[in-house]
Amino acid sequence: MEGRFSQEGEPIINLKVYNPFKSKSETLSFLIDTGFAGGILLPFEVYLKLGLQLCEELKSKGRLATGFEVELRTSKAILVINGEEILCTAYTTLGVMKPLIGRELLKKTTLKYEPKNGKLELDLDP
Amino acid sequence: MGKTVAIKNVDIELYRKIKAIAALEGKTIGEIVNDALRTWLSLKVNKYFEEWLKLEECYEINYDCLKQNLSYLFEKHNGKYVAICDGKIVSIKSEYYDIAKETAQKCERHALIVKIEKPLRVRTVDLGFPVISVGR
Repeated sequence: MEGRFSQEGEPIINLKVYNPFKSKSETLSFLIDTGFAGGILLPFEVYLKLGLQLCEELKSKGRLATGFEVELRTSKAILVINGEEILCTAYTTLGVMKPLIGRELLKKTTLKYEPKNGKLELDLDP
Repeated sequence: MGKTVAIKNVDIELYRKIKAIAALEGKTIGEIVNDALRTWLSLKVNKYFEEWLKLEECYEINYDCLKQNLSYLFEKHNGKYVAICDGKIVSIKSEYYDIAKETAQKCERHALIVKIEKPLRVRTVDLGFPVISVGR
């Protein structure tokens, strides 16, 4: 799947995300973030739109690079990459500005990152 | 230009740490306090804050139910998923998708779905650099 670079040079990929019962979906521009260890991080309003509060897990603790800790609501979501549906952990907290895709999912993919050529590809490993 | 404000009961240990960090980052304590106040305010005035609080209340009720039933669940349903809403266990199943579908039909405001396995613990997730708004 082809991604793109934002004006600020951020690697972005558009992916469809469903709730685990597949009643609602959203197509979101995810920032590829290798500093984030989880599956996806969603703005709280998107989390609510998808109804992920209806399948919450125990809360998690999010640790920022600065050492600051935040409480994370934790749920599951289905992400579609190359037509394949992958169940992953979805997190949110108040004030999340943009959706992130993190290492829990990235470790199942091959990422081609060539900012000089404006090329960004994310493909699910067989 | 900022104003000088005297604040009582500041934790002296916290103040010392902030002073040390401020020196390291070449900032004034005032700048750091302003950053902290902006972050705190951005969380409190977030338009979804009320919604967050409502969910929080539901979560606590469902979490209390989980805690009260934990020994029974470990004894009888270890390895399975339990769904709790409105402070009651509404389903116990082996497969995640089955319980998620059933829960979505039965629950309206909030549901807690937990796999019963030891240890039940709070996960810590590295977030990298801050992705939360500081309300600038």
